[in-house]
Amino acid sequence: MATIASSPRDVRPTTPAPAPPPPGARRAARFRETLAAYCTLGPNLVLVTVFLLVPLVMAVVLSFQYSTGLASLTWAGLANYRQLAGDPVFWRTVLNTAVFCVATVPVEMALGLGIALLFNKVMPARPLWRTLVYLPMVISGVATALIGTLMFDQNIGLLNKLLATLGLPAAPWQTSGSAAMASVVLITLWMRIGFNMVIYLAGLQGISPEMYEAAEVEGAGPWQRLRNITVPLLGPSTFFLLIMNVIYSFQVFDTVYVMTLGGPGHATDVMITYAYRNGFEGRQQGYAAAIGIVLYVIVMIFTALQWRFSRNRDTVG
Amino acid sequence: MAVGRRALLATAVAGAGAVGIARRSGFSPSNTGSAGADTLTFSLWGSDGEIAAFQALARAYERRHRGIRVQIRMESYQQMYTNMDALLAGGRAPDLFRCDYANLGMYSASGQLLDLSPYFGEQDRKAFLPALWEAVCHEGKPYAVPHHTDTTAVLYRKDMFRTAGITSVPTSLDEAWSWDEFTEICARLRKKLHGVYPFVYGWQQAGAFRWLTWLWQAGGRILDESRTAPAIESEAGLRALRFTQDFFRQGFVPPNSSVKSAAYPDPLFTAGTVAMSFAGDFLLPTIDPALKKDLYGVTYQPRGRQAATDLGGNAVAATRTTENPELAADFLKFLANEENMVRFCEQCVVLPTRRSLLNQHLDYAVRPDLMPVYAEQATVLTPAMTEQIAVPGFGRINSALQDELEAAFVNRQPADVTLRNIAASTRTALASA
Repeated sequence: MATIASSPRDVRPTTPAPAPPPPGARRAARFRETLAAYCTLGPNLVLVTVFLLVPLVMAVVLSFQYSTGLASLTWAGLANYRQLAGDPVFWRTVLNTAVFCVATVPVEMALGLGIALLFNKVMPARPLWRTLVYLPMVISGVATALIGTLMFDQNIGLLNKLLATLGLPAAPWQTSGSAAMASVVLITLWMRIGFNMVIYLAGLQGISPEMYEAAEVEGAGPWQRLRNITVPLLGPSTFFLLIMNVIYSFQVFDTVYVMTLGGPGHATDVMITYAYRNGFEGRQQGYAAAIGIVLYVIVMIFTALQWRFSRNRDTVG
Repeated sequence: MAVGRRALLATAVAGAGAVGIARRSGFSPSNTGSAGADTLTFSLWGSDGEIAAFQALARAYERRHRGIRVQIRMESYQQMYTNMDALLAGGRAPDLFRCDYANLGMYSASGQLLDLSPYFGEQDRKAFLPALWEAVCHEGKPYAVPHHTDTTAVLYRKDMFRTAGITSVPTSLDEAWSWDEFTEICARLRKKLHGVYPFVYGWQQAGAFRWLTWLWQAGGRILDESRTAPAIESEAGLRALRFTQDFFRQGFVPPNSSVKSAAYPDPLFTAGTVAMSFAGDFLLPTIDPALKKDLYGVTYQPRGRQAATDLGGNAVAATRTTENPELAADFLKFLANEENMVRFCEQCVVLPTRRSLLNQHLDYAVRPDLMPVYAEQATVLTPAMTEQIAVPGFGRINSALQDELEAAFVNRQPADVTLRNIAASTRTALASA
């Protein structure tokens, strides 16, 4: 058995240990360190305060007021929130937002992972494929949605022409609530898969190849390697994507606004489109702010729950 | 790569030069506020043709008034009112801005616009069409000048009508189809043409208020005569709503052309999806290049108990906080004088708002042969109709029309429920305006 020899206690260092600095110098060093920290953090804190905290507080205050934006403000108390509670359209938009979230988040993450696994392998023209998948993410949401309106137009759209070529009946993309929601979900998936792919690709490239080699030597098949190595080690990426995707889905606006304007009826209206229409078209800014605050609270609760219950958020991917 | 001091200095000099050149060339780094005693700032949106026409008028005004500058600031239509609200609230509004009649009431009622009473005497006021002058007034005072108007008429495909055996269309307002005749025409087109819908109506999105044309044709009103309460819950309201719901029930219009849709009349007409299109004259410059001239013509909107049409077009207003009220009012007069109105209308294919120009021949840039029908159609608009649109809360009423008509057309919401909901929203809008 190997033994570890301890160094003799009587051996003195060849150079004398530096004498502890006097208390005044220690204070000066600590002050310099604190100053440096504030100088580094300062610009960010200013930006966060000016562009995040102040508007947030103003939105909270506005949600307790009646405001048209131009006439003077009047105090409304809880009236905007009471109106929300009894507004069936608002609850419909909450439901639509949840449906949209459930329909997009798991699918875009699964497809993003699948494509990342595919593009992580050596394959011809790999950069080109990656670019093609990521491209819709680079285009603005409004432009993507405009492409969507051309594709899903019920009369002259590309998809229904394709269906007709195949001898299939035209789909009611703009007159049936579920088909309209499906069209918005499909366009969102097209737009968002590239982002999920890039994050997963980065995560995949952080996993050591030796782990796969070791697993292979131990006889693990591709599925076992994926399930027991890849997926657990992509935990931090998955956590990040889950939060980002859920926030994005709760805040979806441009795609819905351009493609369907929330219609037919209120079938595709989500919380943000409803808030926008109330705030800027109906000029009920207090009511719109109340919708925004409710949305903020929902997203914060979801994020807090994720943070609390996610086991692998701090592990290295 | 390390950045040397020389490179840094050169970049800084180049940047400063670029900013200087941009300022000299008229590019304004801040798109807000007045710009001094000898400059008028004018915010507007528009098609390329409209922007060119406004710029030409601004240069003409500058030539006439040496030392005065008119600085045009472009906005997108989608952002126009959101930006204007923010600028007005922040005290950074331009001197002048373009505004549609439906939004004007809100700005004038909230005290944001310059009262033009001292600048427009009785003679000036009488020069404009009464319905259009009424649209720019609030409590009897004018807050803008009616710069131009446009209206809706029925474009029809001659080839499709021939196929359906329809050999003639109304050639005067008096001959306009009755509602029953219009239904017969639609049924005939539906039967004879396969894969083509009889017509499309231009009530999409912000155009929801155009449905009021049917209400007025039925003899109804959305507001009572004092304009303080809804009046849509009526026999006429029911008749108009049921008649328009039937367009969808009977397949007369494309199912995706409802109020919230982005399926606008011009592309559906040029693509041959519909045989008729209720289209504004301002759409002719878009439609004309896509269709041969002899392929389509124009006729009047149907008439119910009375003839009616929609209030289109825009006014130009001066803001209350302008530093140059005299100059702003003078520019408004210049914009709306006879000569300049003719020039603008001819170039942009829209209708004039001056009485004297009503029967005058204008040399329109596109399809001048169709424009007399539009001009005649516009005459059926009465002050009683426009005053219902010029109320302060109309933006919110329009939003309610959008939601409720969509529910009636697509979700088959019963007509009485729809009218009740519109009336409730109208009441709230009037109370909070």
